[in-house]
Amino acid sequence: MTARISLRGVSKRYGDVVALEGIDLDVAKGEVVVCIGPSGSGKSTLLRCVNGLEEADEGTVELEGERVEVLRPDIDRLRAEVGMVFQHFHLFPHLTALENVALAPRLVRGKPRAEAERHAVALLERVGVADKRDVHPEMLSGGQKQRVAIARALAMEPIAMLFDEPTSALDPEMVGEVLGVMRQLAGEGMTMLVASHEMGFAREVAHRVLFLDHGRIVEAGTPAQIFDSPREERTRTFLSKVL
Amino acid sequence: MTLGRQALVRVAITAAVLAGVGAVLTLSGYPWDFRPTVQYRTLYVQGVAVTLGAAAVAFSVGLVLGTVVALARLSRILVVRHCGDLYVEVVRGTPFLVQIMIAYFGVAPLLGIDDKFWTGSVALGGFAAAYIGEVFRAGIESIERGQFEAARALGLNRARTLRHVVLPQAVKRMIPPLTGELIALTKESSLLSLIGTQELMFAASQISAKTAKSFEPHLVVAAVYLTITIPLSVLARRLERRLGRSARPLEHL
Repeated sequence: MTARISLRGVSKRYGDVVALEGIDLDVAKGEVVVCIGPSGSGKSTLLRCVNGLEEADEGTVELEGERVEVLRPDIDRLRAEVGMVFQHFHLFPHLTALENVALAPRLVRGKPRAEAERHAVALLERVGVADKRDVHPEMLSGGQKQRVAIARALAMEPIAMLFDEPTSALDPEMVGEVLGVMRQLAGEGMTMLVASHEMGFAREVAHRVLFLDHGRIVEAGTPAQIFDSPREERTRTFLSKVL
Repeated sequence: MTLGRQALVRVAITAAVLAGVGAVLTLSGYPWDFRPTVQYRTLYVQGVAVTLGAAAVAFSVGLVLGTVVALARLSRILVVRHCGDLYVEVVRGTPFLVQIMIAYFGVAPLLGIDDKFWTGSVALGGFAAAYIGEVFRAGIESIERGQFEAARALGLNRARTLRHVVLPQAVKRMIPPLTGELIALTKESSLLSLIGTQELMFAASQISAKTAKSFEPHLVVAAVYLTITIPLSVLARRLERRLGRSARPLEHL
């Protein structure tokens, strides 16, 4: 069976800085993979290569067997298949919560407005911010913004979701509500690739944890393996700092 | 303070300063003579109409051509980008007076156009397009990168990202500098008089030539320009404040 997301020998450099080096990764349908590691270890870049926001210098990225290449003419169709949630939300400030969620289904999938908005309301309910549907992002708390952003990504009915440090910009008291939504999604069988510093979430929800450092996967395994008996010295050093 | 009142105060202050200068000149024995001005008032009236018309035509041309320039400069295609850059460099690197002469003595005859108003106005539009294009480009580039990425990640193509995500946010940042461009080209249109377009400045030159009185007609012209530009600049400032305060899109204002 083809993996939902498949990376082979992916490398990426910015000038002299190595962002990713020889990354091999398969994420199966319904699998939740959490990448941990210090800032600048390449977690974000890895995610951004999956939906072609960045182009790998070497290696291949595939979504259900289709090559992700920035310059392919139908890259927009492929991008639409993967949802992405950003650290800083990037909600569209000129649109209400509802419009944020309904925009892409209308434009990209050609859904009629009424249908797109009905679906959007259902999604806002699912992430618990239905009462904010007609509010602009500036009036939302960080946690509410991120939940709207998750609903916006889900509106495209993606085959996988990418979460790029979704709770790192949140006040501590709001982290729980966002992780709650993500936990719920994982429980529903969503394929997820997550970059996060939330070790508790990784331990509880991830099927597999990757420890990245200097653009390489240093160690991969079940949460129990990584957190309780890491094999690599670098993993131990990192965990001793964050746990 | 209302827009009208603010403009009025400004005009009043300007008038007071001018009156002061006039008083000093009068006291030092300057022989004021506004009779030619009154006598040839129809020239001014026509002049204002032509100036406003030229500014309107030039601004329209500038907006359309400026959009093309901005899109060219933001293009992914290197050659197109270079063409956009070149246009801006050439237009901004030469005086408008030179451009209008080239347009009038070179381009217009080649195209078989024999109309001073249209030649001048369109040339002015081409001049303004370089600046307006830069306003557009700067407005688009001022939008946070994350907005593009979020839109692209949802599967929106470049055109839709621009149309539905970037432009609605960028337009309100563009409006104050665009008003500035409108003011600038209104003043710049005075150079159209040099190819014989009968706008405001042309009226003053004619009256000077006919009456050998040059100071008064130009003073009057200055006052007329100010009554056009001051309300515009007050409007620009108001818009700036208003748009700066709200993160809402324009249609919600």
